[in-house]
Amino acid sequence: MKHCDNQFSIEEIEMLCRLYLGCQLSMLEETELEYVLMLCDFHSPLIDETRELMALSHSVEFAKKRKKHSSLRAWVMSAAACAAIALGAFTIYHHFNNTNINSHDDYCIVYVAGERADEEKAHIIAEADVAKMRQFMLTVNEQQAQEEAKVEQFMNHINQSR
Amino acid sequence: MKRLTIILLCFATAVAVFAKPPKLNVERLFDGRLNNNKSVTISIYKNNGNYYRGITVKNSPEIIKMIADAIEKDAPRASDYSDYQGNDGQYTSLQIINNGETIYIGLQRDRHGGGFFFIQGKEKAFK
Repeated sequence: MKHCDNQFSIEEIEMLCRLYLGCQLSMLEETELEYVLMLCDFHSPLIDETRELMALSHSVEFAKKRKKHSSLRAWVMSAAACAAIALGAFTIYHHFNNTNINSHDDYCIVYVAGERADEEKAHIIAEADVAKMRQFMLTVNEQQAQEEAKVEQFMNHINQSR
Repeated sequence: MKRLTIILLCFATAVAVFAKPPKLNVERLFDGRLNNNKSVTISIYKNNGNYYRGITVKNSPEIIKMIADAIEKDAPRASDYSDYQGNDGQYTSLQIINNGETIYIGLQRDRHGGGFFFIQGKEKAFK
């Protein structure tokens, strides 16, 4: 009697195949039979038919796996599309900003004691404020220069004392 | 439908993150909260790409404190900071680099709860 590696005879395997085709095997037994058929080289119309059926079920499982894979690919594509759209929006936003910077939409808004000033008065006040700011910067720069000069003088004095 | 919602959400988040301008605390003082205050004069002035905003305060230590607090919050971002007591008041000065441009911030406090505060720089610096 011919035996395969798992010590099943062709008759035993055919019997198992019959049970498989009659849907009388448990899931575990079906898996074991699949494994046995993969390892054995036995051939008979019944065994071949079972093999074909199992191959069919394999292909169904494979198709399911492929579906999962294509779903993952769809997500990757979606993420890439999002990134591309975001990049496009970012570029448009920056272009829009730069255009705004270069445009000459000058304005002057002034509120005095809770009331909005008219354009002429607003310009006078704003220009006076800008002059005040320049004076502030000048004062701060002078003060910094004085402080730096004092530090330098102090360091020179220290160096000369050594 | 669920996927489309998530895609739109991702897109909206990305746009929001990219579009959010880097705001300074001192800039928030010009959000309109002081426009109707009787103790202040507010100037917002843009000319040839230069941006200037100033507040002159008369007799209002609370507003001066609010400005000083905003300056202190921005101080860690400053590349240059100075504070000194002059004959005509206290001078606080900051320089903040943003977008490759310098923003100048100054506050001069007098002895009567008043003062003069400004932010100045190229418009690009405020983007």
